[in-house]
Amino acid sequence: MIDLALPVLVQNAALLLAVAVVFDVVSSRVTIDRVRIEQAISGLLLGVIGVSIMLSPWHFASGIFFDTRTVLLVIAGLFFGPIPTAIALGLMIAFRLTQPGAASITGIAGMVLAAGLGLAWRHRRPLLEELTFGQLLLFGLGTHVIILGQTTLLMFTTLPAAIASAAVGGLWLPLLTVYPVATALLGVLLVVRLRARQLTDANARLRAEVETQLKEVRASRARIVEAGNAERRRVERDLHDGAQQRLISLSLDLRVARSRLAGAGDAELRQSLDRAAEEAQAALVELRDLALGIHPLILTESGLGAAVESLADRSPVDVAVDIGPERYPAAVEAAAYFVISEALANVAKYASATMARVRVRPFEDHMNIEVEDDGVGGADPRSGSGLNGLRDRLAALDGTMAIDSPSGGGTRLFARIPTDQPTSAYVPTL
Amino acid sequence: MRTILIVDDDARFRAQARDLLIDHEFVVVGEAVDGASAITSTRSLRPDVVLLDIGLPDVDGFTVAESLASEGSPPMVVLTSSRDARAYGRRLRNSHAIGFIPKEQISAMAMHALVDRE
Repeated sequence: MIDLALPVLVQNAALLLAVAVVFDVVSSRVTIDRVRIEQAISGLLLGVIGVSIMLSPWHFASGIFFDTRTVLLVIAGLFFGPIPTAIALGLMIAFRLTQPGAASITGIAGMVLAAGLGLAWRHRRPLLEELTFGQLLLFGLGTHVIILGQTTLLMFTTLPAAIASAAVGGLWLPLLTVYPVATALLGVLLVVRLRARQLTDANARLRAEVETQLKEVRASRARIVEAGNAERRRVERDLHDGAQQRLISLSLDLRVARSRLAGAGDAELRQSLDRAAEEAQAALVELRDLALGIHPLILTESGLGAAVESLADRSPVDVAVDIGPERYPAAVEAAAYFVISEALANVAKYASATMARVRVRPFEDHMNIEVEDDGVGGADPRSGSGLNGLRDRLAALDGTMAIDSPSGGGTRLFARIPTDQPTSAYVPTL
Repeated sequence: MRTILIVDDDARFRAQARDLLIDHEFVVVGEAVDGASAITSTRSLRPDVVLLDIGLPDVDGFTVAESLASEGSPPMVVLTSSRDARAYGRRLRNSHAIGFIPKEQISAMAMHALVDRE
């Protein structure tokens, strides 16, 4: 008992700890194809550890060895399952058979019993990751009581009574104290690892879920933007086909009536016809402005360059337009158009500029927009200008916007819109 | 005397335009309802001026204007639309037309302003 001593215990403890490493390395990524190979590998590794443990025994008497192999096999049965345990057990039995010794039958029977008890508990399917130190200690104690019982029985039947008695006398104390504690400690170590692994798996699943959801949200956001744009195009068309046509017809009718009247009729009638024609004309202008603000037809028909040139024509400030003939997804063109439109409106309203420049360039997978003026600068990008609404419009396409406006140094607006939008079909209208 | 062909798919507009264009110098010699008939009518009637709607049912007015420009002794083309010039921008500037009049502003006077400077 004194001979058991520290070195052997430490050696055994170190070897048992290696089980945790096997547990970590193998079966960390369990896919159906890999399961069998991994079980075979972990069985072999456990067998090697088991043999190593058996090579560091406490030599009790001639042919009688004790070591912590039962701890290994109990834990293997419980945590690794039947196939790895059977392989490890096979290797250890084979090794034991090559060794001389009187107690080989007892030793082998002990190993089989340990593995069997581990597997039996596993078979009852406890939630391994929820096992506590107390439960594992009780389990370790129970199994080793049974093993002690069997060993005692076998020793007394296979060995001379004096040797058996001495062996059991030296064996029962460590078997009922050190071994259960070792079983519980190793078990807890594996439970902790199991929990960590489940946490990692759960994290990976969660991340994958979040990524999928993000992708779905992006796609649905792009669909919403596209639906909004389609709706704006439809409203523009409806205004054109409906109210606008009627107003034109009314306006022409009034002018036809007025021209038929020429100098004839009473002056008041002529005047009221003139006024009505003017009213119809004014309504038409307002309606067209409204339609243009909802969705400019020129954008879908002729692209961003033509649409921005049309904006530039109307601007009180001299605007240089530098936009290539490239076409982009409708949602991207619409967002770019409204950003530029708002930026030019701000230039006209606040900048006191003499000239402005609009530049649009495709760059890799996005569009770069730059609007600059030579005005007074000092624009606050957070102030309530229409730019904040545009920021949202851009964000819906994963686009960004920045404003550089030093006081007295002009204003530069940069915007960037990804051009590979989830629903990027260019749909010409009309 | 200058002859005019009116091209628009809306009969009411054609009648109104006819009323508003006729004066001591202009005479409306024919009407067409789409791009294809605009080209055949131009060939047969040889008008001096074609008042051409941009939004025709078959091809758009820009395309028709381009075809007419390639005819022998082509007519002057004046485009019109129920939208205003902002809806077309550079397409108008690059077109083969001598000018553009929004539909509600059609009149002999507006037509003179374009035709007489040619």
